[in-house]
Amino acid sequence: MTELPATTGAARPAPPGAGAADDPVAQLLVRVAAGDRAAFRALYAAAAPKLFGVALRMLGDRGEAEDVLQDTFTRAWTNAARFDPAKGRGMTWLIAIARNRAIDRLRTRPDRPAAAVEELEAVADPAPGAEAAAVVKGDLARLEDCMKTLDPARAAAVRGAYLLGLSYQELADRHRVPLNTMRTWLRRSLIALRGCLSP
Amino acid sequence: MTRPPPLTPPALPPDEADLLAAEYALGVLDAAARAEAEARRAADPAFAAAVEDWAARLAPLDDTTPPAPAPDLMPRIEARLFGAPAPRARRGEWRGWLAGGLATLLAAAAAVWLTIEGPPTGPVPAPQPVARVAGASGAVFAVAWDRGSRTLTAIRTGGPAPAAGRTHQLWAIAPGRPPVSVGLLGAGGLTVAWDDPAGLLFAVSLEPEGGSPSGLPTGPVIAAGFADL
Repeated sequence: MTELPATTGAARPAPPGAGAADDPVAQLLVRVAAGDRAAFRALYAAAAPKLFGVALRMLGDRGEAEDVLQDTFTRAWTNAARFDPAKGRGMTWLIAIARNRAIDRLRTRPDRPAAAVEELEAVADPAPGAEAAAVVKGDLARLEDCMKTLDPARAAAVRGAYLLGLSYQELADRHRVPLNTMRTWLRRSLIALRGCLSP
Repeated sequence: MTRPPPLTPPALPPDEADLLAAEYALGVLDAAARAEAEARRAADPAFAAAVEDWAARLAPLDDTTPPAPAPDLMPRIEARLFGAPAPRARRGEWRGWLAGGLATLLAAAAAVWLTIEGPPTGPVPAPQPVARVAGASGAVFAVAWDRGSRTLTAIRTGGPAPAAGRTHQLWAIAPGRPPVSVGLLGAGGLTVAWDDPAGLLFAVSLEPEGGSPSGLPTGPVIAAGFADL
């Protein structure tokens, strides 16, 4: 072996600033990738509450949310070597796993009726205080500014999709438009967001 | 009825591919389309990168979701992954470790500090060396610290690899404090963020695979050395 730690298996060299003091979850993931079980436990303590909150938001059921939480950490252990601290925050990587596990579950069952979706949306919509507090952070402020450039109904569709894991069909039913109309709405909205967010 | 996704999904024009990545990250695709997008993700690194970019763009939407008290599922998770939860050692055992093994080792280490050992068995870290962590059995570890990035690297440079089912774990001990795990020394060494190694005693212990189950040393000390900063 003639090089510093490789990119799979053992802990990778962290580029300057990456996985640094401002991202403890990333640091733990790098140690988990090396097989460190104490770091895995510390990761659970640090990340489980937020991930459980995300799973509850999407599934609305404690038992299902617990199953998703378990799946998420199992995958985190197995795939930690794929996490690259230079590419993003540890929590973002974990939340993406949790969301995907939750959506996979949702897609195995019949679509939720529009009335049920309405109720979920009412709960998922952040209270003005919570949103204001979070918007202080730069990334959310930027995204919210871009969301404001969208038609309000389309912004609501984007939010419903992301926060609740709504399918195209569920969104079409909720907003009472044909499926292809909802596809067009969302695709155009995504293109607009991409343009708005690009540096 | 869903069909199984193709093994190598057909190529898409770049704009289509990016929108598909966006739809997947947003979560709106049905089960069949999700399966196909996942197949693409596995087969096409550019598509996988596009999915990550979209996930990062949308991630701030999670900021307003409050954390919720989570049950401790770790015993279940560990049982599935490892067969059984790791045993937890009693707190305070490390004091015996420190008093006994480490003291003996440091006395012996003083004697080996100046010996010239053979060529390193692994790469020596490039940043400034701060500690040569050595033991009587020929185990030698180099610890280095890069002040600019505040990154600590460590690697075994002499002595045998740990036996099967065991691992080397590096500890940092400040005066009067319990040992703190720096991490596990795999074949490729160890790299962690570290603010300041000045004044620390570094020690390597032999632990079960996966590291000490208790968060404190449980196995024998095989090497020790003070940070020279």
